Amino acid sequence: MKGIKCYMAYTPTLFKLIVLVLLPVLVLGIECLNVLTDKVALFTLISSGVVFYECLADVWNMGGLHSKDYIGIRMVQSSKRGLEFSKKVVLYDCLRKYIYMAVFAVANLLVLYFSIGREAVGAYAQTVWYVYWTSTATLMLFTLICRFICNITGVFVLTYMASIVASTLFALIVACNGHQTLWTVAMVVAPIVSIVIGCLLVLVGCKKMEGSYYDA
Amino acid sequence: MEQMQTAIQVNHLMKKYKGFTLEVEDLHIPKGFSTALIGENGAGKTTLLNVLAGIRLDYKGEITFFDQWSDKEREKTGNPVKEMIGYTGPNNYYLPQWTVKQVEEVSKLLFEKFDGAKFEKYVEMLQIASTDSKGKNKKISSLSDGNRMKLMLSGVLARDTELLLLDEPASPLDPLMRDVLCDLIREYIEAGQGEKSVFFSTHNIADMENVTDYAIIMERGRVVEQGFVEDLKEKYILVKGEASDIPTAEKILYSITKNSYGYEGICLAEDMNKLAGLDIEVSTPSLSQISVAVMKKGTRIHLQ
Repeated sequence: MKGIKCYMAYTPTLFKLIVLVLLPVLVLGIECLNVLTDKVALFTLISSGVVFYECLADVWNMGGLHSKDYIGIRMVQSSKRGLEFSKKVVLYDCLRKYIYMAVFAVANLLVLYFSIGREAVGAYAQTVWYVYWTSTATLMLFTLICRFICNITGVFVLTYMASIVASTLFALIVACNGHQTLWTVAMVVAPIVSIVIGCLLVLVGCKKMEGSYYDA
Repeated sequence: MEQMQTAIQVNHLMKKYKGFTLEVEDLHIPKGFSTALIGENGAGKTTLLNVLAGIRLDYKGEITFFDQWSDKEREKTGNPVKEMIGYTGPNNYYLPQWTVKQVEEVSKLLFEKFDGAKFEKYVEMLQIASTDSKGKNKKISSLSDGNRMKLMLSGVLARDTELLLLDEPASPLDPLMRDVLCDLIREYIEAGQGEKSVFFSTHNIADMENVTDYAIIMERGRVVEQGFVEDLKEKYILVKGEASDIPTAEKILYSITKNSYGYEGICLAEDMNKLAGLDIEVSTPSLSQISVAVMKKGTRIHLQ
């Protein structure tokens, strides 16, 4: 709970309103409105959209965190709890991204369950699983890279690239259709890659926070 | 003589940057007093304050806090030093997108002895923002430099600390607010009954003089003078004389300012007898005059 408090206190109010509330509500609304009959196609579209806005919004909250010029927030650094606070913010931001994406995936499956039935969920669950992990992996990777950049144009380019990469990875699963071994490998590898990159994102963030106390 | 109690004691401190070295052999910040850190731009004041506040850790040397804890101990879990020190600095102190309300929330999480009601009292008293939701949602980036400094002061004064480290607190403030700042420092020291101390850097020596008990003057990364203001005023004497005596006086005086009518300079008390025979007028210099004289002696800036 303390971690959530730290994250919420650190995050700008408008960011909370737009990125934590409005955009997710919009995404869930689109999922529930049955705008596309193909629910998996809808989820892949939504996922690449979420990757796009989450990458872009990260600049607002933690832009330049991994850059060489990052010198820390003096008030936070002057506190005994400052480093712990900063690390919690980095960790909970990462967890929040995984949880939000999971909520969108579960919502997609629930819509599928209520509109078509249990059998439909069973058939599509694996694809949603793959899309969830590849989109989170892409999001974590591009967030990791974007935080090294202070220039907003650079981040824009990378954000576009992130949603293209995510869409390409989603397309790969279609190509794997019929190849049971490839399908199984993808289902196992995607979560591992996503978690490894997620851990890397948190580790690099924490290292940068520690490093902000040193000039060298 | 009774040994002076110190809030901070520094020995053989060294921090290197490209083209600049902070080298402080021996420095004492007396406990229960207000100490001013004076020096020209680039003298190393901010670096020294950052090291003392624990926001810069790559240095060599020893620092002792409140005659009890070393700088190594300060970084250990459960050590109270950082909680006992309130620091404000001019750059990157808050995230610009934070609001006044967020500053309060973050402070509550960061500092054990942060009093929200006290913070709101200062925010209102110093006219930073109204304490209604509109005022509290004011973004840091929309505050003027002066109001940002007032907010930092509210933040540290709302905590139960024993030492304030203030980096250039007077610079962004208007003359009236500088006077209020002096009152706040005085109140803080008096409330501590000898236990609370303030260490601030300043270029506005004249404005802050009435709240300065002890002064430390830095030059090119080194402490060139330190002592109680009263002692410094006995050590240095302000001398004024005729233009005809300039050639003799400038060999003796510590620092001198000449014009066509005469000269004005600072003379070390121990050299006063050397001025015998000259037509001079002596008086007690202000801290500002002493500081300028000391800085002038070591400065690299020379007008052609």
